[in-house]
Amino acid sequence: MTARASQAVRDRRKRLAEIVGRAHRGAALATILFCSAAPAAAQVGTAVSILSDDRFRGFSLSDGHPVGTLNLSYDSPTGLYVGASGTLVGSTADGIRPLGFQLDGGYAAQVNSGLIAEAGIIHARYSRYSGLRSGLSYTEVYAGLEGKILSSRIYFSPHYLGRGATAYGELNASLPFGQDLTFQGHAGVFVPFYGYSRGSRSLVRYDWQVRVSRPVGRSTFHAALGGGGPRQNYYGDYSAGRAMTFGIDYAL
Amino acid sequence: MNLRRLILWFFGLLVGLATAVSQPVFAQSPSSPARQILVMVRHPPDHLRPGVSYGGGYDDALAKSARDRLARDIAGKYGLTLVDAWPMPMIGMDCFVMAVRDARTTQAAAEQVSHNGNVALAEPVEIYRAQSAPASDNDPLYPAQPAAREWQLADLHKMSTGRGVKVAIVDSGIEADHPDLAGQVAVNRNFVSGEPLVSESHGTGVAGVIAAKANNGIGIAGVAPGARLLGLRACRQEPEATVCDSFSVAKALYFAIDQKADVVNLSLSGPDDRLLRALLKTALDRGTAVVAAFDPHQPDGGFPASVPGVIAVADDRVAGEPSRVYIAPGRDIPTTEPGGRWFLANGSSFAAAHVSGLVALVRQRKPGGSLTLITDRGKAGAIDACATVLKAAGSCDCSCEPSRSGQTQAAR
Repeated sequence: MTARASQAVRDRRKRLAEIVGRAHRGAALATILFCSAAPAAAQVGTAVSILSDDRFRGFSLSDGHPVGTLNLSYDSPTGLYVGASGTLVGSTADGIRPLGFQLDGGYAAQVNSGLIAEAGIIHARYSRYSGLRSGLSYTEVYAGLEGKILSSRIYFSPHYLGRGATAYGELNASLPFGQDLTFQGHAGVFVPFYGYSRGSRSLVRYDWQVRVSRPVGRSTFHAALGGGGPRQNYYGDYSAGRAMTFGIDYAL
Repeated sequence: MNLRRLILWFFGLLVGLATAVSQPVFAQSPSSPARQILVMVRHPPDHLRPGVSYGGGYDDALAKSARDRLARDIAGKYGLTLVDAWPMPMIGMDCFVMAVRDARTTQAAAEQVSHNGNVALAEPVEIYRAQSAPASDNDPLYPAQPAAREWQLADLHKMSTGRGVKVAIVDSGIEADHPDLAGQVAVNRNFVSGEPLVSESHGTGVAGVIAAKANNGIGIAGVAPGARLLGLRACRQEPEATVCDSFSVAKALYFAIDQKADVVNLSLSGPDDRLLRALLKTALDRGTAVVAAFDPHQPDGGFPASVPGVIAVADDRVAGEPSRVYIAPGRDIPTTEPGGRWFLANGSSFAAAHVSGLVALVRQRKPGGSLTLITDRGKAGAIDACATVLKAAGSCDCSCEPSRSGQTQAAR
């Protein structure tokens, strides 16, 4: 790599870090605004989550490193909602660095006493510390149904993580066990439409996760086992395969 | 320090911190239900929370944070103390219990809170009493059950035993391992805040009337020995009476609806309550039969017996009730008692329990559709159990005959 190319990479990383940093500052400002200016009947939620590994759709977004996430939500009784989250990743090599941020919004409506229909949009962007290529992002629209035990959603992205159009379908189950434990299961299928070359790889991917959680006061402790396949992926060096993760969510 | 040690250190620290700060949100010093109000807040629909988990849902940290913050704000604004919370997404509400610590009446405090834009409903926590007469201490156990004679129980069991029908008993604690109840109680759960699940007389007696084991060589035969009981402790036994508060009853009733109980037995009575009325409407809309004890001391029979659609039942001591009230055996009823014993029970609580058992018999033979209870025209409101079950069963190899003089009433 030439000196000019190295300088270009450094500049790019610096710009990205600034973007992510601004996003985190924006999230903090949004928290303050949410908490102080919420109109009547709106519900504002803030929570922090600590995870041993940030796994998403069968892959580690944090390259196997622990992450901390601040989540914000604003729910209107009309069914409209928005949310934001920012994530930091910790590693021995780089210390604590920004991993990425996510924004979402949508509308949910009770269809009957046991079923909720929802539709929304998500935008996520990741830094180079995610293990993805720097500056990768995606925007997805989704729609789904949520029952007491089962929920199912379909997502569509026109430009998923710097590649082509994709769809993702998922089925989730949540079962309480006794008064304190909840078991959850997740299965998903990722289908690229275009912008992906088949080569020797299967284009369709699957992922799964089983999770158990237990609330203690304002905290919820959880452990999950997940995986996906095929092991080889489109984006290079972020780790796939079966993995166990642990985490804590704390309601602020 | 390698990465594994860093991660372990990191998590050890966080678990410690989280445990240290995971103090309960609610007040630690309990207050009397008589000084508490229920505050219902509209609950936004659950939805995906991408940053939290795949499923999202009611128990995620963001939803919990939002509910707690709103409750704390309301409690702080009106000088109340947050005591407890119970999510009720099925009716689109979050339910909070708040204690009134100052000189205000609970009615006044509820009135003030109800003006808050976030609050859908605020009302005092009401007190309900089980509808039983005091047991006679010295009477020996009467060897025959009134239902065995008046309802031809053996013939009823040739047509139906209530097999597989879920009957929820919202009452005091049930002794699930009583020899006449062992194996009959599928769920035994406590909804009285701050107390353990204990076995109590009223709940155990009601459970025995409904579903005590038959043909086991001991004790009594329940009206529906094949039914599966959901024992939901919402009341506690006090020296003079069995009492419940509306919050505990609401939690138990919600659970019963959520578990798709076919029948809900409410052998209790008290003042009208909007939250309970909303839950009763939800139950009735879902086809659940709700049976309630008629309070002879109230002009309309008390709440919830007075709610349209609820099957109101009085014992056979009461005369001159409104036409919508059914009469069932409720005097000198031998039934189960904690400690593996039996006793004689009296009151419309036990008449209601008989009808809950009868509805379970009907529901086994006719799981859906309208529920028809046939009364004997000659005895105002008295249920003709044989004709009622025969109508659902169609026919039987027994001495039950279709009631010629009977009066058919659609209970729902």
